[in-house]
Amino acid sequence: MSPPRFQLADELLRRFAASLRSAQLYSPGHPIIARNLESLSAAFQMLHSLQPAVTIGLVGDEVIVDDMPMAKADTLGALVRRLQQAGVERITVDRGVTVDEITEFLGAITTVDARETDPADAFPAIRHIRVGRVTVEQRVEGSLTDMATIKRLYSDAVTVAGNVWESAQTEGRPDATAARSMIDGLAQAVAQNRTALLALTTLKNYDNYTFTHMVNVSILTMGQARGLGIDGPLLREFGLAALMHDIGKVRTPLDVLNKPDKLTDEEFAIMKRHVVDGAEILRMTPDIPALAPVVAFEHHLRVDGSGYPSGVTRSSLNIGTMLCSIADVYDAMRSQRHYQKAFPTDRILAVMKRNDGTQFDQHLVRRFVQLIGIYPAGNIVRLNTGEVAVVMNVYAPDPYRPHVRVLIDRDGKRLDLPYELNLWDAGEDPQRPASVVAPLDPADYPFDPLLLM
Amino acid sequence: MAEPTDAPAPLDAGDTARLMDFARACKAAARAVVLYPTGHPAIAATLGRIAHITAPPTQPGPLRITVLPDGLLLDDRAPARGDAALTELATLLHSHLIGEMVVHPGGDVEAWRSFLLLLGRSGESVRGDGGIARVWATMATCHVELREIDYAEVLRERSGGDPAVWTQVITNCLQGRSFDLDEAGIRELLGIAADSEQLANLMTSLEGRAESGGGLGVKAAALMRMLRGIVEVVSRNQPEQLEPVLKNMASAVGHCSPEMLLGLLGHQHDDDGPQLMQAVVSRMTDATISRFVSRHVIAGDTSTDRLAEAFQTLVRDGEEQQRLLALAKGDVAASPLGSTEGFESVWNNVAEKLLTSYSDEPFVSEAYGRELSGARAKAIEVEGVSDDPPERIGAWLGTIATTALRSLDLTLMLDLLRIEQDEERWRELMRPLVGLIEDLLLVGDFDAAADLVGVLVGEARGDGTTARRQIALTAIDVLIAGSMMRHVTTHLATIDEAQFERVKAMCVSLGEVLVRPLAEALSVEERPRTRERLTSVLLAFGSVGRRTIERLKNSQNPAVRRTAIHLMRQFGGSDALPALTELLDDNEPQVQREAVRAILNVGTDAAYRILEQALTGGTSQSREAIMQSIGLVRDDRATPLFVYILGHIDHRGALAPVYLRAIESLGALHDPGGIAPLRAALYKGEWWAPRRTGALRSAAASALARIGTPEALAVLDEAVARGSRGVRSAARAQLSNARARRQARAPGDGDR
Repeated sequence: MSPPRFQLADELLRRFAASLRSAQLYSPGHPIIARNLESLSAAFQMLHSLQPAVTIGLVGDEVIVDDMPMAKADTLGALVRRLQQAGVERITVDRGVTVDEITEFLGAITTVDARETDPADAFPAIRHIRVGRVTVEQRVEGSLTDMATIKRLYSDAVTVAGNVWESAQTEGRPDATAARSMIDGLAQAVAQNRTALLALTTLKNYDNYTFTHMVNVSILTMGQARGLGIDGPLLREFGLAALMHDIGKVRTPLDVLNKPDKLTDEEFAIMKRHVVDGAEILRMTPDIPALAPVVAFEHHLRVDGSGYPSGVTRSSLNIGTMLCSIADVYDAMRSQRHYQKAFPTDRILAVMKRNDGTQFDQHLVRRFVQLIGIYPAGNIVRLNTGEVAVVMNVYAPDPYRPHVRVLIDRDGKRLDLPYELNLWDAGEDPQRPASVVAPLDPADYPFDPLLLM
Repeated sequence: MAEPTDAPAPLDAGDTARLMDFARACKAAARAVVLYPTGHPAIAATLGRIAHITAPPTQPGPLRITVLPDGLLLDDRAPARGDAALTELATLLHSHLIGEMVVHPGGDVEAWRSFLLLLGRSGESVRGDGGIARVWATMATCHVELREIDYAEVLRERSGGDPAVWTQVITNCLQGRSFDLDEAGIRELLGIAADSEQLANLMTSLEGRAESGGGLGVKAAALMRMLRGIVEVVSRNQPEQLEPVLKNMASAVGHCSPEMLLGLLGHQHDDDGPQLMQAVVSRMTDATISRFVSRHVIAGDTSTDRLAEAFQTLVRDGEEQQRLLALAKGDVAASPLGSTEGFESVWNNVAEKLLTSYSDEPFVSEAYGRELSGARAKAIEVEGVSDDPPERIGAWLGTIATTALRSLDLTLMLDLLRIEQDEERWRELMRPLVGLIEDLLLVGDFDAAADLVGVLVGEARGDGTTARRQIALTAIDVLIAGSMMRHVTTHLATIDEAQFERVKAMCVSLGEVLVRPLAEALSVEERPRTRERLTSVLLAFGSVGRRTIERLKNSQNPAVRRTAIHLMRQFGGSDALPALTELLDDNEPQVQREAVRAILNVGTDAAYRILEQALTGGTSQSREAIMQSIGLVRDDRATPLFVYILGHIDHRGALAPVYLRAIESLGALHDPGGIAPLRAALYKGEWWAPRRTGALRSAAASALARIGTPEALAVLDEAVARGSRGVRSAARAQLSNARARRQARAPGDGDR
């Protein structure tokens, strides 16, 4: 091993790390990215003047360039972590590689996730760069079209949320690995069977409000994000950020956190501190995406400048914060707690819409209503002709006329063979149900509406 | 990375103890031979121990030890329990890239000493000699066999995996491009085409990778492109192989799904598509077709209707269909499905469908078909409804684009640092803060880094409480002790001037704690532009930067030693004279020259004395080097030195050439300040050394003539008029030359 070659390889790794990090931190076209890419390209050229191809690999805990062990993986931190996350174990770069090719490759490596469904599609074919990778499959067991699987997934998620909360409470940091793994499953479900998962958020869990709220807000945020076309790793970041939005409350004294009555001003000031605590906790937790502490910090800020933490102003809010805020308010108002009666769904949505343009982005609220429906999937509702039905699916243009399954006829008799109706296709027949008139409390009925979906 | 395999059972207690004994003895002896001088009793004792435990009575057979980065295996089995000696020895062996060693019984003390001394060398130096296995092989001892880790082999692309050519072929086909393979790629493709199994795998990969949204037509078109491409490549390169390749294709097509097969058969987009598929289908053997049927019946992965449609397209004749179904039944009966209850009934159902012509027309009315399509369209409409224009959605998504997110993170950190009042919590923020600054420096976002550094510096200056000040100071120390300078130097050569100024300001704001790492970075820096900018940063620290000079002037790198001189010149003053004096003896001429220039720059008597001492006390070689350096100085500042030399150095003896060079240099500088000493030199000389005296006077007269001012010429006139014969002669010769030169000059030159 000649020292110049070693030094060139060392320089290459440094520039690779800088380029990759800049591609992660800045949007395409940013001058910092361009500068780092030029440097990296020059480093490749220098090594290519000595040899036709350069191979960078991870072997055990060593980072290797060709046949030279360069450094322990832990000393190259972010670079190695990213390569591992992308499932890359070997990169071979041939002489003649262009800046465009390097750009394309770095673009792929910053977005690829080894857990994606089809690893073969993950990396584009680049003429001078070849990638050897391993695949980590992490799939939800069972079919996501099966309501029982979705329910199990939801229930497991609530348990994991409890563990995450506990780890944050006892160790000062939430268990990011467990949280990520759980979000992976939920994100898959959101992508594949959003309706069923959203329906689960209508469940009322009187004992585990904190944890069900974490999971619900995560699902509702991912559901909205999915509607905006967000998918893959970014969708999971939204889910994780939303899951952790209230994690700062682990530092809130229990007598304040669990107080059944209205909080005094002093207590409310203490409660408000959770946004700062949450951001600090998450900012100090490794492997938490940057969005999470931002959302934790900002989720009580409103677009009209109101909210807290006081003294903090934002000219505009990011979409992650806005979606999480909507989900947070919706779920908090929907849930029944000791000190607060649950609002009927339409009432909640009315409240949120009343704040259109002041507290929440009106367009996002409209989208949320379209997503959830005035009568969300899984709700038991009464139809205009008196039947009782469970909402199966929401017809976005008209949230009052969802797709339902009728369970009880207009005479109050439980049907042996429930039937389905598209209320938006009702037509002119006055005898045929055409719309929902009221939500009903599932506790009044001897069946689980979710299992009837 | 590797496929997980079942780990072999751990070693039993006896073998574990044996391995531990060996590791402990080996480690102890390795330490002793390196730490103690030869002959130290510890060496004999430890080597004796390792020789003993590897002697034939104790170790009857060879020990095959596999080296992992943090542990050892004996015959691929891990010890039953861990031990620090195992880890330490593994680390040592791994640092030399030893992957496996076999210890044969009977190695004596000397053999072990050789081996352990080799281990005691740095891994880098051994690798510089060709690697430990090679070096060890040349040492002619064989009690230890070594196998070095060949990382190149480890990283080599595996042929059995997913070769690049597959990816390229598949991508090209999916994107509708023609093949663009280099020679190696074509070779690879021909190899694939010659193997029906590989060909089938390639086709399956393509089918799997075709975009799901693209529909069957897209997949079929891609697969057709692949088949046509392969035929073209084979026809061009190995036409004699075309027939076998078509047969392989026929076999491979039998692995497609019924839907894909139907897609291929119905493909009308290419002129030669039907013809090619006809050629392929006509080569499908009975076995291929029957297995196509049986495979899908067993797997149950497709609708029987589609399978029937494909089967009937492949085989038109009714009797043929029955014959092939009988073959297929045999395959299915041999599978686990065949042993299930009711198999006969299931098979009869399938066979009936396969033999029945497929068409939905009799069952689905046109109106009902339209209704079904309408329902699907409505479902899509519901899913895709959105009143938001793309620009609005784009703007929302822009708020969490990577750069925006970076900015949010930065703002958050600044907010937290501002809002947090609790000192303990504020202290906890330092770790992510330092991490973020390092991140920003790594990528070269110096503006953002400077914002955060500004907060730290503000607190360290005492803007907040005493405790916070202490926390900030500690954080600055941590930042500087980390990778900060490494990241900064990576970018220094490429950033523009304005950015560099900001980097400089940021560095200076951190205070003098940065001076030492700055000097360290500078002392090893090779790139001129980076060195120049690091120097500039160092200079910005003012006199504090002077402390770094000692380190820099001892650098191995001559360029860095010159930087040290440059810094000394910049700082000025005579404090640097001792350091500069040392550098006069530097073995690099350029460094010497710079040192001379720096000393001249100081320009005091003390400085000249140093040069005089260097000239008088040094070797002829160093004297020559110094004189050359001085001679190259074309600067009035050198005049006092030459005057000093003429006044203090003897024009005779070993230093006579120095004296003469000083005279020449004074003439070259045209400085009137040199006239008086030159006049004195003109009159010097001894009658008993006429040649030396003649040379001296001639040089002095020549120098005066080169100065050429009226005062200088007056000195020559005076010498012609009143000097001794030798003086007159020298002055006359130069005076006439000087006059001739003056006449040749333009009238505007005046008296000069």
